[in-house]
Amino acid sequence: MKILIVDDKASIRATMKIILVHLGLSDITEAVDGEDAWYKINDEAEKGREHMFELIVSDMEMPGMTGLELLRAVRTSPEVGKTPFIMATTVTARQIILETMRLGIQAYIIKPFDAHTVELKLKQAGIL
Amino acid sequence: MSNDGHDCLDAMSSEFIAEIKDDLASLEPALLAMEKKGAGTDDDLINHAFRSIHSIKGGAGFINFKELSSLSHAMENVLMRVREKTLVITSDIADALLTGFDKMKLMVERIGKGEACDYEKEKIALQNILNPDKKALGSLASTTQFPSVHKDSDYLPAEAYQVLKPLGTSTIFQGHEFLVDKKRLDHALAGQKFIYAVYVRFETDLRARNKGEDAIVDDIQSIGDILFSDLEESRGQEEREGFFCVISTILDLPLLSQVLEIGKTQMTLVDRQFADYETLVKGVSSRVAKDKPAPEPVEPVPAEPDEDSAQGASESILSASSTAQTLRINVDLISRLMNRAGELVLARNQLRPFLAENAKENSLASGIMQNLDMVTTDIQEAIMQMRMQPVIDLMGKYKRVVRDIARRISKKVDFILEGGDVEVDRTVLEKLANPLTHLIRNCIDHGIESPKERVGRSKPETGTIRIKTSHQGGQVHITISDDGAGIDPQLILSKAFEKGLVTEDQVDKMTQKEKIALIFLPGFTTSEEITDISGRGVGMDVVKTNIESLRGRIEIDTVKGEGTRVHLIIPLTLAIVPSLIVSTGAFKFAIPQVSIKEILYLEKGTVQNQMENIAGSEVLRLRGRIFPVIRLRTLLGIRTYIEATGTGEKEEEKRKALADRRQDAVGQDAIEDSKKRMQKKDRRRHHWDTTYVIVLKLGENLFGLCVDALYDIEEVVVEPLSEYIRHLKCFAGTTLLGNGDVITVLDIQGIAAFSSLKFDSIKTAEEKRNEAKEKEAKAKGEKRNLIIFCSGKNEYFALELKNISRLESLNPGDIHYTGHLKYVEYKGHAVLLFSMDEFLPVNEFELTTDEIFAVFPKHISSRVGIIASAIIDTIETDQLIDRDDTCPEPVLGKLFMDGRMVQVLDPDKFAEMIEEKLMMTKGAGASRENPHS
Repeated sequence: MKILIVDDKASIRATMKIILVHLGLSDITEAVDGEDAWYKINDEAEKGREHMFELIVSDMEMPGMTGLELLRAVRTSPEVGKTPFIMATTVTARQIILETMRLGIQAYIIKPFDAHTVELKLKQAGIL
Repeated sequence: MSNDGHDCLDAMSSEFIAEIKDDLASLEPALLAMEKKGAGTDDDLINHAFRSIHSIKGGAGFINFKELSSLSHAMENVLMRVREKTLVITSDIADALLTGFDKMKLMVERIGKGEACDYEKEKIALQNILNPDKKALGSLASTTQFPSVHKDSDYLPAEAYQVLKPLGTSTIFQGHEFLVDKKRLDHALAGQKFIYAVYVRFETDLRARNKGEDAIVDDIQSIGDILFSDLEESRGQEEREGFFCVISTILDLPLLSQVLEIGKTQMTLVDRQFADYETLVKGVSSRVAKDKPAPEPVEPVPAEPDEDSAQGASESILSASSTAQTLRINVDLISRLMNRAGELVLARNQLRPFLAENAKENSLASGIMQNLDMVTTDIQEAIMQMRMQPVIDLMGKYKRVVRDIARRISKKVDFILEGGDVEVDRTVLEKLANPLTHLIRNCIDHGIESPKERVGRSKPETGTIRIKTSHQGGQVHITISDDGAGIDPQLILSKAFEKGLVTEDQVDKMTQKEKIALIFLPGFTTSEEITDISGRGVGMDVVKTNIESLRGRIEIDTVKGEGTRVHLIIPLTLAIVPSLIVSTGAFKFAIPQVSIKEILYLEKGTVQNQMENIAGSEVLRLRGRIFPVIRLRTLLGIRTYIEATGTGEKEEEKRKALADRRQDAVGQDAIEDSKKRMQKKDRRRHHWDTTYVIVLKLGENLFGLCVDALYDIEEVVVEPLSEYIRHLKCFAGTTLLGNGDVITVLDIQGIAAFSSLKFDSIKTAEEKRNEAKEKEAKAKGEKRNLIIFCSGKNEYFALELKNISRLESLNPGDIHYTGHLKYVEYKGHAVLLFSMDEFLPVNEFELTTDEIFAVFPKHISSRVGIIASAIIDTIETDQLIDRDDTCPEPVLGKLFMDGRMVQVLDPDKFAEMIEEKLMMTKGAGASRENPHS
């Protein structure tokens, strides 16, 4: 399974990567912010269906394009609009959660997370 | 949906009552604020009051408390009209609401006692406000269709539906089961969704948040699916306060609570979830289960959806009903714990010397000690904090007191609270309640004038009472100020005089502050008539005693016509007092650290120099400030024993401190004594040679307490004095030291009172002195060192030391005469001598004595000496030199020293005159020489 981890903090990306690898998900790409992610998502999509990411795990608060904006961009795209999307964030603001839910996400992970939480959430999202 | 869980509810009722009490506590200030703001009340406030009353009603319903439920319902109806803006709160409505509130409070207090409360009057008063149209709850219109399934399972094929039981111990879901569509449930479970049962309260969750029913349905549908809801059924049922629903979502419980804006206690996972969930995350849940084997028996306080809901799903499942951060604990238990912690501190102190001894041999000991220290301190602090309560808990109540009293005597008063979040030990807070009530009553009754009077005095019609609380150096300062009439010291005085509380003699000596302080005398009152508010003459003295029993102080500042400010200074806690251990003679004492401003060590010699005597008290001058000093030794009459060298016998110290000698023995004794000391045979160290002065704070005043030695600062637990010695003013209590010694704790205030320190008179004397000094400084600059010498028999002159190069003692035989000029030999030179009679109209100098002196002034072109019959003294003086125009040159002015009149010479003028004389002698010499040649 091809996964994109989006977070401006290298430590978070590393942690998430370790957990995912531990869960048997090893095809992992990292993006440092929303724009980087959006570029990579489209880049891969252009190469063809089989290259598309099968899961995006994104932070919410990032410089430039935020996780919410990334989600909005993904969901409005005809090519990658159906990619499973997981939010991993500290943001618990009501309106934002509601909006992400309306746009459609597969899980909402609250930082700090541990391996068990990620495992559970991936199961919830139908990934595992 | 019947409530068949009443047995469980009984166990929970104390929790509900506690909650109701909280709600009541928050209701009163809201009602008061609403009254004040009238039509301008903001929605937040109304909603707040509404929520409070509504949850009271809800709570009352849960514990089947019909009276409370009915009365709160009546109040709720009134508040609802207010919220709908169809009713503006007037004072009458506020009265009805507040009396209703009082009755509710009474009901709650009486709940366990089985006494019935008659609340008809209050209820009718509330209903009268609304008159005929008494609209009930639940008229919200909503057209939203809910996927609703009836519980009536008879009509439904059993296999199509599944019964869900809510998990957890929350009373909200007690006895409830939900029947949901099995297919949809299975679908949700297959998607690993969480299935929650949620209770939505119409009032608190919807109306109070300005949400409609459709809005919450929208919200739920954005985050998941609704599997069950009884909203439709709840429609039209007035007694229903909310509806249940079962929803599936991927959100964790804290997030769900956040999104729906519904308390976490109002939502819980359901049983089907648990089975699947357990298999799903068996690792996690088994881990959590180990930590929490059974659901908490204590129902937590419902927590608002909190911000830091950053916990994983794993926790949320088991902690769904125990997410609270607060826990109610019996006050007695805390008190017991507190006492024990105090004893623990003592035990630690006792253990310390043993461990310190062992530390040399066993390195483990110091580690143990450190650990013990840390833990003890931590426990102590934690328990302290447990006992801390914000002062608003007490102060908030006065809003009502002020309102009621002001209304009763038709005065208009604004009540302002500042610093309500300052935390104080609850025992302190409890003891503050009575004195504060007295003070506030006084403010309204005596302080604030009637609106008419105020307008007459061009003050705003509404008076202001302000209570300000702040922390300052381990103490709490509370200031109660009003902008009323102030206290007239003259009135106080005449009243006190009338009642025979003071004598005329005393009155004469009183300062303004002391006069005002007369109101603290027992039996004092200025009120002509006794009202039910004040004037019984048991006010201020009780206040003072109360405050003092808290080891606090009370001070009053007042300006007639402008207002009064009462200042209370109170310790944060009464239990454990960090104290400095000091000793005098063979006795140790503890001085509470909060009273200590600084500690001075006065070395031998400096003691005498720095001590002065002003207005009959010993004072110490420190960095320009001057304050009275008390010697603990004298104060307590402690005798000193001196161990005689060799024999080891103890002999009572009989010598007195220098200052004593100075004071009471200006005559022979002092001289004799100092002579003995001059012989230096007595080499015993005297206690007064060196001393520690502990500078203590007493309100704005400082005073010093002299002690012999200092020890550590220890945290002592103060025990009250035994009954037999309780009347002793100087001691606050006793305590046990680490080594097992029992010592007394000094009462700083008591000591000051006992020694009748005259801060004011010292201050006045000092001010006078400073003024005089300033004057003098302006007149002639700073201190002078003068040499006083005598010319002839009893004529005294003074020259400043800095203008004199040296003094010589001469034998009259050494003087060589040339005509009328006198010379002496000095280092091979002839030096001309003058006597004062050559400059001034004084008696001629007669060289009759065996020894004479010569004073050599500086700044003269050649060596010249002035003959003196005696050098009296060199003195340092800042005394004002009495100048007068009749003084012949070169006299600057006259001084009176020890009964002598001293003529101070102007050095410049004197030098000029000497130069003139020299010229003349030269001229004379020249004219004499000339004829020879």
